Amino acid sequence: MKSTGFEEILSGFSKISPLKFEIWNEKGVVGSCDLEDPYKVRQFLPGMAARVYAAEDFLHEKNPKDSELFGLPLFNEEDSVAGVLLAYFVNTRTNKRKTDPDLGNTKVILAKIAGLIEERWEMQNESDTLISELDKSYESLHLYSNVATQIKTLNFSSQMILHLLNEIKDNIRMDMVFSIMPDRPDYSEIVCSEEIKIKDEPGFVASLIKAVEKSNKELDEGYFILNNSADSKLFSKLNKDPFRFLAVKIIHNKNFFGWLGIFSLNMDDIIKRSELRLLVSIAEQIGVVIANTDLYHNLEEFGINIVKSLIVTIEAKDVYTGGHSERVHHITMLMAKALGINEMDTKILNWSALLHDVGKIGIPESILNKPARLDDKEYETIKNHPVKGAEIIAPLEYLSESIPGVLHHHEAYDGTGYPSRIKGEQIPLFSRIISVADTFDAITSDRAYRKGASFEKGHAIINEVSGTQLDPDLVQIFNRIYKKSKNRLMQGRNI
Amino acid sequence: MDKKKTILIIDDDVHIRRILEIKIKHSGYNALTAKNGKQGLEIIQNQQPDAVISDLNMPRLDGKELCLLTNPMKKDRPFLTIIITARINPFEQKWIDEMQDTMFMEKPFSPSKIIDSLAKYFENVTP
Repeated sequence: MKSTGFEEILSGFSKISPLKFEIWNEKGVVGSCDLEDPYKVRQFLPGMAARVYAAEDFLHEKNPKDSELFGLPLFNEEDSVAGVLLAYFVNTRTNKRKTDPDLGNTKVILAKIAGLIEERWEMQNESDTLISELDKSYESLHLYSNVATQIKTLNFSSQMILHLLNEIKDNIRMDMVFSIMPDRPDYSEIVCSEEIKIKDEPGFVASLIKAVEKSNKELDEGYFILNNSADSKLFSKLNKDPFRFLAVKIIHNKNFFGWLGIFSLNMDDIIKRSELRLLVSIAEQIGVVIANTDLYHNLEEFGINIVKSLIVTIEAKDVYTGGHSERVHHITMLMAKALGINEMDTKILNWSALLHDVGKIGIPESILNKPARLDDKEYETIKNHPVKGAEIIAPLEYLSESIPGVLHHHEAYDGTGYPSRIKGEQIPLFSRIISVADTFDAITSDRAYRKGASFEKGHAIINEVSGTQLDPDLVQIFNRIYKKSKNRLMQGRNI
Repeated sequence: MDKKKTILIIDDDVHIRRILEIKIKHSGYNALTAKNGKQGLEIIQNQQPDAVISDLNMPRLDGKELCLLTNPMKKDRPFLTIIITARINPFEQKWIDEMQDTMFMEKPFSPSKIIDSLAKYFENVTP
């Protein structure tokens, strides 16, 4: 029985009134009692309270000390006695109670006070129930909000899944929460409470899902609830102790990705509608994210494949330098590794190297494959290919950072190159790297007008033009690679 | 000394006050409530609670002003302030960092997390 605030009022009132009031429950007086008791009447109160409890009705008793006791039971919502309103009065010379032959007035007053107290209890209980529901709603809201924020960032990772599962576990107090996605082992996670004692958790979860899929229930609704494993022969075999669980399908646009599930060994409770709704909602969100991530990857792959097609067209066009782009790419990648370039930049350099000659598409084959020297006009046309290449790549947003590498791969370290005649560090690093690789391959591979030189000759010429045509530091890197493993440079030759 | 700690809840929304009040009482603390910053300030000055949970946007003295006014008190008698707000933007974060023993929570907040934060603070602070 909770305090209603009435105790204080009655206590204060009692101090100025001849009739004293107290609220009692089985444990004793509710609230503190600091009333003076010169006639020691209070010793009779416990007995009176007990008798009122038992009688469940108004009682009036006269006591030897010329005191009168009154008691009225207080009923709770379930109509059982939850407390007693007691009143007492001592008849003294100076303190005579007005005669009240049938106790009508006293009974009425007490009944009214009791009514107020009971009403107050009822409202408090109702309010507390509502508050408890609100509390749960707040927790759910908080969880939803978190999920939504994470999903917005498309930052889907196994970390995020773990975090999500833990939030669910804490929020709805489960022994185990799991996500099982057969095609995505990264996103398959299980979190358990400390009390759970299942030995092989992944195995157990797998057997649960197997049993779900095996059971006859039609899974149109996309979820499976079992409130007591003992009710099912199939499921009771999976675990010694009875358990309850819920598994929800993770679906988007009719694509099935996996299961999201909660599991509990606490049989004092059942899987609630609110928990089902929560899980379904989260599973839907996860489905959306996975579908989007897949879409994004597909798009990326699509873009990459387009670029690969571009490269094939270059190779197809040029009979004599077939394989050149790939070889330049290969050497460039070796140099990038030696320079310790990070993953993202390596990707950018990767495309620049593969596409550095894409501008040659526009050049007539009569010039490209001319077996003799080129005249000035023809030479000018060839010199245009870095610019042309940059123009070709320009519409592809994905490759925007690779443009400089292509545009400036024919600049010279001393500024005598083309198209911009920039020099030294003005030339983008990626272009300078490609220049080294491009030069080496140009010398050592066959052309329409001459055969390729030997590796040693190529190596020597690279060093001859170090500082003029090529960046001397990068030439050193090349030398290191050459010294260490000439054979690695050979890779890609026998295509 | 294991005296019961007193937590002050300041919010103009009666439901939030009630939710937090009940949760706090169930967790073994005493709870005081205030409807606005002005009331809250009075209670802080007169009753010196061990922690304050306050909404940011309130009539008559908002959460930020409350923090600014009560921060000096924390030197001699530290207490935790938790500010609840709809969204934490970088400007808000700045002034919070300059306050002693003050933290943010975004709405919708988790009542349980508030209780956890209180527990953590008291664990670290009381010798």
